[in-house]
Amino acid sequence: MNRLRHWPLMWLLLLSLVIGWTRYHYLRLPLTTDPSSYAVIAHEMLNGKRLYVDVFDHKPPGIYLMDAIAEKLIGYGDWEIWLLGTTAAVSTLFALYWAGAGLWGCVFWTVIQADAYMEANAPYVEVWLALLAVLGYGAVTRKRYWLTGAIVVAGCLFKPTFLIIGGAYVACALAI
Amino acid sequence: MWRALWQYNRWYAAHKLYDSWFQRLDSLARLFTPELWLLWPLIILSAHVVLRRHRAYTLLAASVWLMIWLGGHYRYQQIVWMPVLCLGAGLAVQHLHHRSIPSALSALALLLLHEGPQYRVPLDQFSAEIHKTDNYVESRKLAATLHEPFYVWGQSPEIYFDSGQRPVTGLVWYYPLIQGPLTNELTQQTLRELQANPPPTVIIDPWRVVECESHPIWQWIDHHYTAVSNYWMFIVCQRKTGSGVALQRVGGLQEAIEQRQQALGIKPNLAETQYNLGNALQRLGWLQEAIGHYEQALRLKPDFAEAHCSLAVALGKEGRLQEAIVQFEQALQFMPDSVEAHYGLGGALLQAGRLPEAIQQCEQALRLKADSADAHYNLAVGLHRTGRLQEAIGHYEQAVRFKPDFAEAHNNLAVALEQAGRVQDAIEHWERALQLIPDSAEAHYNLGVALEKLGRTQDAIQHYEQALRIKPDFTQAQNALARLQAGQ
Repeated sequence: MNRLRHWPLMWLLLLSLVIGWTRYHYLRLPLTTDPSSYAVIAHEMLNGKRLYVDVFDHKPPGIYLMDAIAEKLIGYGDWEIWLLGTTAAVSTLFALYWAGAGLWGCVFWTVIQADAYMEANAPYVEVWLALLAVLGYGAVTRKRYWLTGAIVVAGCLFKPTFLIIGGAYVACALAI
Repeated sequence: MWRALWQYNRWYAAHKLYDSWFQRLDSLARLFTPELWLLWPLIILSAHVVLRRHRAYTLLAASVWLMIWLGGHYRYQQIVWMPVLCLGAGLAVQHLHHRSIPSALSALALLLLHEGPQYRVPLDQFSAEIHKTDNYVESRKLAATLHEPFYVWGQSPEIYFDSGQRPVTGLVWYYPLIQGPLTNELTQQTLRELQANPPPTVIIDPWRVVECESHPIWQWIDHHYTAVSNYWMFIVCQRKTGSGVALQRVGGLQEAIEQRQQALGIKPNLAETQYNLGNALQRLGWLQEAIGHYEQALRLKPDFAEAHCSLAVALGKEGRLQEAIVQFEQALQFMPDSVEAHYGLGGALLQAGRLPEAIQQCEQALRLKADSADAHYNLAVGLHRTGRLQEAIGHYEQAVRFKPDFAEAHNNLAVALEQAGRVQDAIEHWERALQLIPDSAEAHYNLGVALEKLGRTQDAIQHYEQALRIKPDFTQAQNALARLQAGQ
């Protein structure tokens, strides 16, 4: 009985390994303008520069914070990008399962999560928005409204338009 | 923080919202492109959930659509759809009961068919294919060569990231410097940072840079840096250490960028693009770089006769005569009736001292095109050197007839005419040559000699003095001037 209960977790761990491997495949992928600017600005922040004062960009601080954490953990460079991509994709995998996508939903995600044509193999702001969108859905359908609110706030720290999804959660809470 | 998150974003958001409806439609149309077919199995399954009136999921999907729609039309913005569709597909599989396994397996098979081949494509190739440019691949290669601080004027912060070098300014991309409500403030800030700590190198990323000719930072770069080389489309500038020759190159910077943009903006992997770029660089005198692009063109298209010919010209200017001759011969192999290749080969053979063969090639060029000034000129030089003075004069005259501003032909014709004893005629052509190239010390000296022969001593002295102003160590002019002044 216990063994059966742990099956989904084992599947998710296996799928996480697959995600880690697919991201490793893209380790040396030439980085584009946006993700590289996040990494460079985060690097400057870790070197004592103040965001919006010494280094300028117009995006909210969430993305720079994620890049700074990744750099702290693994260093500046390609591995930082790998860690960001893998963390976001694996977190989304677990979020999907938690939100009720089932193992099939998780398998679909594992197959497409690093799709190069979508540029999903690079750590754009959107990978975090995608994770938070699913997490928020899971929270609101489980009626954990404080958590939902926290997720909306976190989403707005990446992109203010996440408020639109927050609006959907409110409507969702009212409809349930 | 206020200026970045509110002032700038208020403009930025409005800017995005004013994007045309066509671009919005374009973002919808993207879903139908072959690259995004992967989403369709998931869309169909998710639609099943929506049709079953799953309100929570429908609201989520609608809000994601609205968020992406408001955000713009970049492909990567669709990433948010991916887990949302996986969620929908997962929910659908659970709702389908007895049909769930076949539906899920079919969707999975389609997804694997779409995704599997992606892992066989080399990363650089993928980058070029997806972004329709080699920009990011070449940025990475350029970054590997940069070992000291630099500033990137353009939209390429990836060069900082790839090189591991820290940016010298607080703004790592230049868009806010040219548009938006903070343009002046950020420009002054960036300028102060550059002036306080000028980096040894500036990289110019030519995309859209031509819009900024009057921009203070662009002017600062233009004033303090010299374009020294190029790397694919990037122009590498070094801080000036003096004036002189280096300044002349800066003059060509804008033109170089414009031409490279035009060339590379189309299709960088085409041999023709590399060839055009080589021509632009050759016109600027950047021979090494031009040679690189011609060689690239020939790797892409080995039978590209025009590229062989232009490469030969560049090699000839570099003094690599034997290689130039080989390239001209290859051009003729692929295009035997090329006038340019014939007279070009003639010119290279002349420089190599192979006069009979040179004359033969130039005559062949004139058989193909009788009004080719260059062919007449090269033939005239060959005949002149073999002592066939009258024939040489005839062809020099043809050269200046078909190309009246051919300064070298006027100069050589004058020399030949003077040798033939027609000093008055020679003076006319030297004067014409000096109108075209006023800073030619040799032409001034030669004209001085001719005027001296006619007894026009004062005029001769003026031209000797002029020759010495241009070339102070011109010994023959010094002697001639000293002799005339002593005689007075």
